[in-house]
Amino acid sequence: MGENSSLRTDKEFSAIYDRNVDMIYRIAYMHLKNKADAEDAVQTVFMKYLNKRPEFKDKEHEKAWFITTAKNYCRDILKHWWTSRRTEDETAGERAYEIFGSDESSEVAEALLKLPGKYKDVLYLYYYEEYTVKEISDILRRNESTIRTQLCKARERMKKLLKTEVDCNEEITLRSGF
Amino acid sequence: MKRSHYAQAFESMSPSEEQKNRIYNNIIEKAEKKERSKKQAPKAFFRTVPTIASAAAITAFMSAFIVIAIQSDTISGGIDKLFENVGHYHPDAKTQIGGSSKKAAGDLSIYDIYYSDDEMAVIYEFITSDEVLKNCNTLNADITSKINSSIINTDEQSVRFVKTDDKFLSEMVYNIESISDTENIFTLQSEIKNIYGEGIPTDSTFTTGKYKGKCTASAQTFKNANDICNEYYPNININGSTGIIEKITVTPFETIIDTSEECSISLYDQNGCLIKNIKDGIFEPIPMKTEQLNMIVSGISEYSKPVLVSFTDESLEGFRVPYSSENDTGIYIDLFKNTAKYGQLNSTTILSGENEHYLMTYVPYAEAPEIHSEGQTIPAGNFINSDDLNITVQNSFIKKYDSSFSGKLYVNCIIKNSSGKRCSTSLKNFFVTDADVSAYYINDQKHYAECGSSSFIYDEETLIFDKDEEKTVRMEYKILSSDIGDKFYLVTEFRNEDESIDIIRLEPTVFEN
Repeated sequence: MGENSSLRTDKEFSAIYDRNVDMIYRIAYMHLKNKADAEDAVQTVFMKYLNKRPEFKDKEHEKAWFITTAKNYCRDILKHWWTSRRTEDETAGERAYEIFGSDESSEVAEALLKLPGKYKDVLYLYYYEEYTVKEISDILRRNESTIRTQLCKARERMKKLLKTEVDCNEEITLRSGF
Repeated sequence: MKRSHYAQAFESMSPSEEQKNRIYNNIIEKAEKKERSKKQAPKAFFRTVPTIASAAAITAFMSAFIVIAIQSDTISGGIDKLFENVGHYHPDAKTQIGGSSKKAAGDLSIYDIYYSDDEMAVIYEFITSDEVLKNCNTLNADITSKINSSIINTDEQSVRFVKTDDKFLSEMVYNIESISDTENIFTLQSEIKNIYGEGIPTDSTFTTGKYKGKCTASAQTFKNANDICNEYYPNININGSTGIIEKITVTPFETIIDTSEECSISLYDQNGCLIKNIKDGIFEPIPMKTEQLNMIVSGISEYSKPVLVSFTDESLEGFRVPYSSENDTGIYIDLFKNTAKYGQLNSTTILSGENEHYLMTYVPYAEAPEIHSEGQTIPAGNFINSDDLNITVQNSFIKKYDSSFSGKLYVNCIIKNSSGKRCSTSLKNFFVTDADVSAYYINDQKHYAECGSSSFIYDEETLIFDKDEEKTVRMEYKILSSDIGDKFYLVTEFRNEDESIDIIRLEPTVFEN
């Protein structure tokens, strides 16, 4: 770690923080489903960064590193013994309602929180971060076809949760360029 | 639902400015605190490994059951914080510290836990009268791997063991990055007893620290194997309540960010013969419950890597793989001896999935559906792939079973290189349907399968063509479904050297029951 005494005036770290904090928080919140854990996750991820100080080739590399680290951290937390033994988060939707309100986006947010982690990741990266399937494949280290399938299944799950129509095959076909 | 709906939903999960500022200040404070403690921490203290001579002193110390306090003056503040954390997350932990977990296989004691703001050292003693364990050269990897799998977010750690007669002493030193590190220690002892309660660990090794290693466990019962696997590796699960597994080896590979991303699993039969190594990805080995087979194990990868299913019994004539996911049950992949090279000793089936769970059960071949007469033929046609390769779909057909719709689909593609030069092409096959079908794709020695609605089955292989060479590629799909739906695509993708993609597509072909 660098000179922490100067961390408060470290413009580079401050810039990195500003660039990534929202994204990390969203990823953490998606997985951990509460503000406190999400804040802890953000803090931990940036502490990892400060400890390792990885050199990034560019901002995309930096972003991918934070995505992966945040995702892995959340997974570690979720598989931890007391987390895994906690009562299943059946009230995620209710909590989301409290947090997000009752508009249309809150319904979608509620549904998103109920999805399995792998589906949240691909939906977030695809729809919000606007990565391509290929880029998501690189970040998550999964096959492109896996990403496509997971996107499709995620939409199907969302469809079931929201009871809306989604033509999954059509989307796959279009995205695949068939 | 439109992209904007998703975007708005994700946007609503963003932190507030107040939250961001608070987190930022916390990070700065924590970083500064860590930097200060690094300058003050007595590093050498934590690198103390108990020697054989010092072990006696430690044992005596242990008998007094005063484990933590002895160092409290050395590490001021650290111990208090330790108990504070324990009390918060694990009320019973205090009584576990320094106590011993008496089990049939031996007694495990945590001698001491040294703790500072950024490092922790844990010293264990494991005493056993078990003859098998006595012959081990190191502390059983159950403990080691448990330590490693329990402790997350560590940058560095060293694990060393000293054996004295029937005792194993170990010290582990690692950095503390998060509060969860300390909490894990206190779950360690109680969790280890679950391992030793039923299993007989043997032949265990742990070669290095966090990022490279090998750990081996043995189990006499399925349940125990499940426990061990879970203890070893949180991402490994064994489903089922009965079964036979003699040995499972888990080998984490080197990785940069998250060591739990990858592992390999070696499976051995009851005679100690290696059946199969499974590598890459996160696998969930599922021993097949069977009365007739000694062992069949399936793994599945989160990253859609192949899953290997091994056979050890020549009497195998067929088996059924009920497909099971969170919401889907009752869909089957059936593999038959007469449609593939199954039933051979150590033959291998590769399934491809995405972290789906396959619970495998053996059913006698006589109970499997029988293939009936040839059914509907898919219209064949000529498809020009590119200027270089001339491809003809020669024939294809399905076979129907007597009850629910299911069948096999063959497509013979004749590919001729008319480019006038030697060239290669990558052949990728897709099976796409909008119905809840299960199917698998067979091609030569490879067997890929995937289930579920709108799923892909794919394989990719590179074909090399000499000048004017013609090859016939046979693609075989087996489809099992009670509802084929109204769309059925067979998509074959050819990828040329220049990465241009041409596609053969047969669609839509409606199959009727």
